[in-house]
Amino acid sequence: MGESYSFTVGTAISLLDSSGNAVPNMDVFNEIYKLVEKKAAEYDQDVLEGLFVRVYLSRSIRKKEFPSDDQIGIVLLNWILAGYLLPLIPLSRSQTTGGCI
Amino acid sequence: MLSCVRSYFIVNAMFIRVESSTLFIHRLYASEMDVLCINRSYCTDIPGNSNGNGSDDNPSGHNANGSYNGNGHDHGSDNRSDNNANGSSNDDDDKTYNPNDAKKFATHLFYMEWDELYKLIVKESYSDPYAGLRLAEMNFTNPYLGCSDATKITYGVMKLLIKYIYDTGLEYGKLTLGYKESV
Repeated sequence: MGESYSFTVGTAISLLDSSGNAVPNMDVFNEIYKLVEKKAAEYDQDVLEGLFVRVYLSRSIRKKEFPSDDQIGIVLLNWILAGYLLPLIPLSRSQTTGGCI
Repeated sequence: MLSCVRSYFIVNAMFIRVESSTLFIHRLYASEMDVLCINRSYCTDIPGNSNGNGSDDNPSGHNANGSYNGNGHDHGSDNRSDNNANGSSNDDDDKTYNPNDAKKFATHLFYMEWDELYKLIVKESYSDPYAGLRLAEMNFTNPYLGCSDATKITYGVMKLLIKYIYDTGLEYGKLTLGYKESV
């Protein structure tokens, strides 16, 4: 691989709705999935050396202890199960059929 | 002679079960809404077949605490008896939908993708360039991650969010997603 470069894909995704309430985690997940799937069609043959997220907040994050990979996997799995297989269903079909079983 | 006939039927029954599982996977990925009509025997067989067909390269799992053993069984919500354990396929008309089967299968698929992503990650880090901005990133090793692999990319982004961003008392936030490629 040659020289690496970074670029931002898509527009910003808000973690709060217009009323100031936190967006449900599964909605954030689906927003990201939609964006990534859209970009997958554009950069079909490309491979990624890495990913990054920039998060803008009203104050600094004081988080000092980070969950383990196993804990993250369990949390993510629970969200997916709560969403009933939505990530496995292509967007075109999910939009026409209501999204989940 | 009798044993030959018996073997013939056993082999045939196994073939039918494998065919059924393959068909089910194809149908699920093709997002047919027939997923509502999961035959119980299909779902019961699929996680068990994962080590045989090479789809799960990490049979021991990556967890040290044993929360996942790579078979996809641990995260199922129940331990149902397998009525089809003898290889018979006479319950084809049993099309009842059991949500626990779908969850078990979804769990298996999730850990297949999660393990593959886990093997690719070589480094995760974060930085705070200034107050109110956090930059979290992960790097992959060869063979890298394809842009077309939307599910793994999404899992990677969510992994970064859960690990480095999500916190109690989060007041306002927007995130942008970035890719690193090379020319």
